[in-house]
Amino acid sequence: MIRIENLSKQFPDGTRALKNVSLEVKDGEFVSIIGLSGAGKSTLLRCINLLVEPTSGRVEVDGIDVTAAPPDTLRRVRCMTGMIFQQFNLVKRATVLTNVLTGRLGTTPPLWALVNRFRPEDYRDAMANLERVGIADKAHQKAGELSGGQQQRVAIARALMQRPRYILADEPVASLDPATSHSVLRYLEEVNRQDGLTVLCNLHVLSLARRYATRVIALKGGELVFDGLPDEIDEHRFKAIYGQDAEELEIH
Amino acid sequence: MTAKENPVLEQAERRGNPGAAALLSVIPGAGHIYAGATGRGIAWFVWVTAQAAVFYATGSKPPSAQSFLPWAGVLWLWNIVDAFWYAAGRTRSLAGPILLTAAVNFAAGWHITQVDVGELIVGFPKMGHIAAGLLQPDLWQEGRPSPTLTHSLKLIVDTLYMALIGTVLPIPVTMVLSVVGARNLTSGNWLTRSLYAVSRSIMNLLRSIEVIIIAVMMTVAVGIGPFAGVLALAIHGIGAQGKLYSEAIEDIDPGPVEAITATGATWLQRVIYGVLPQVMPQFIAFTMYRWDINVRMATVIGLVGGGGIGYTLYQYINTLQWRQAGTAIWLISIAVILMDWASAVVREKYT
Repeated sequence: MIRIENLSKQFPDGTRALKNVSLEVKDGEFVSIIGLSGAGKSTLLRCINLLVEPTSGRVEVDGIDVTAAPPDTLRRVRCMTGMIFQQFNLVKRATVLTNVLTGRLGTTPPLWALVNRFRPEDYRDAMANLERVGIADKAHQKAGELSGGQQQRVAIARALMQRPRYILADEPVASLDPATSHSVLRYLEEVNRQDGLTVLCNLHVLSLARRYATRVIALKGGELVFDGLPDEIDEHRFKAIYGQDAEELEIH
Repeated sequence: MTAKENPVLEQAERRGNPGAAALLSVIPGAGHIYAGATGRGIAWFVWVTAQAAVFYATGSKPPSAQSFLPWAGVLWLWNIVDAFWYAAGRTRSLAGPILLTAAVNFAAGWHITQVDVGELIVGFPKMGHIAAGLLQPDLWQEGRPSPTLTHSLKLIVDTLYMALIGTVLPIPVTMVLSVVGARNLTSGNWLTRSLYAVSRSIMNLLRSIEVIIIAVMMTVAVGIGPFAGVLALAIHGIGAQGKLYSEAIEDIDPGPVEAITATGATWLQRVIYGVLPQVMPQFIAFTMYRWDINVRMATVIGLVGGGGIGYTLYQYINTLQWRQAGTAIWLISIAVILMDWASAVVREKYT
C-alpha cells in the first residue's frame, strides 16, 4: 500500500508543484494520474521513490516512511518500486541486456560494479524479462538503435528485474505513436492483472486512462481535484480538470 | 524644437560637485566614487596605480621602462578630467585613455624586450647553418642508416612512450577527481559539495602550472631523464584532462542516471552504469588528444632535462652539429604531424 499524506512540494524557483495532496493506493490497483502538463503528476510520482524530496508531508510505501528513511532503507524502497519514464531513460550506448541488468543493482553488492559483475541468474532473468516484452532477439544491440516502443519495452524489462511490487510510470507513452502506446500499456496491464503489481501511471490523454485504469486521480495546479472510477469523469468533470476550452481526444 | 523635447540639448543632470570630484581624484577613482560610480572609480584606481607600478617595477638599470612613468601621469590627469565630467553629468567614453594605455604599453614592451630589427637582419644569415642542416640532414652513411638517424629514431620512440605514459599514468587520479568535480554528481549534501570544490581547486592549480616548470621541479626530485618528463606531463595532465572530463560529465543526459537511481543503485553504481557509458567516447577522444599534445610537450621538456629527443637536439645545437640537429628536427616534425593526424581521426570518430 502507498499512503500519501498532506504532501507538498515547492521547488527552489518558487514553483509549487504539489499542494497538500493526500491519497492511498491499495495493492493491485491500476491508478492513472491525469492532468495537464505542469499539474504536478511527475513530481507526485517522484516523491514516492524520493527522486524528488517533498517540502512537507509524508509518503509511506509498504508501511515504510520514505521521507524519513535512512539511505539503505530508501534504496530498498526504490528497489521494490520500478519506474518507467517518458524518455525511456536507457543508457543508449550500452547494450539492451546491460540496461536490463541495471534493474538488479539494488540487490547487487555495490562493489561488484567495479568489475561489472552480476549473478548468473541475473542474466537468465534478464533474458526471460526481455522474452516477456518480446525483444529477446535485440539483447545484444545498443539500446539507442531500437525504436521508441522497443526502448520503452526494454525499460519495462529493466523495471521488472527489480522484482518490484509497484510500478511508477511517468507518461510512459507520451513520446510514442498511438498504436505503439497500446502495445506498451498492455504490458503494464498484464503485469498488473497477472503478477498483481500495483501500477501508478501518469497519462495526459484521458481515453487511455479510461481504457486501462481501475481508478483515476486528477491533479490540477498541484491539487487533487478528482479521485474515482474512470467512468465517473463526465463532460463537466472533464472541463474542470482540463479547462473550459478542452475537447476530449480519442486515441484508439 | 524646444530644449525640453530634445534630450541632447537638455541640461545634463549633475551627480555631484564637479570641482570636488576633480579635487578628490588626486587619489585616482575617488572622485568617481564620490559621484556614485563605484565600479568606474575602482577601475580608474587600479588602472592608474597598476600602470605606474608596472613601469616603476622595471627598475632603474636598462632595459627599463621607468622613463615611461610620465605617461602614467597623463592617465592620472585623464582620471581627474573624467571625474570632473562624470560629476557634471556627462559620462565620457573611455576609448581615448584605453588606446593611449595600449599604445604606451606596446612602446614600453618594445623597449623592454629589446626588439632590434637591425640585429635580426644582420644576424639572420647565421641561421644558415641550421637551414643547411635541415636541407642536408644526417640520414645515410656508407649505404646504411647513419648512427644519428638510428639514435634519433630510438629517441623519437622514447619520446612517444614518454608521452604515452605521461598520458595514461594519471588517468585513475583524473577519473576520480573529475567525477567528484562534476556539479551534477555532487549536489547531494555539504560533504559532496565541498569535495567538488576541493577537486576543482586541485585541477585548476595543476593546470595553471606550465609543464616546463613542473619538469624543472621534477628534475630536482628524480634527476635529469625521461622519468622527470613523464611526471611533469602526468601532473599537468591531471589538471588539464580533469577539467575536460568533468565538463563532459556535466553535459550528460540526466535521464539514465535518474532511472538507475530509481532502481535503488548506490552512488558508485550510478556513476559506473549511468555516467561512464555516456562519457566514455569523449574520454577516449580527449585522452588521444592529450597524447598528441604530450608528444609535442615531451620534445620541449627534453630541453630542460626531461629526457627524450629534445634533450639530444639541444646537445646537437650546442655542439654545432647542424646536420644531426636537422635529422632530429625532421623526425620531430614527422612524429608530431602523424600524432596530430591520428588524434584528429579518433576525435572525428568519437565526438
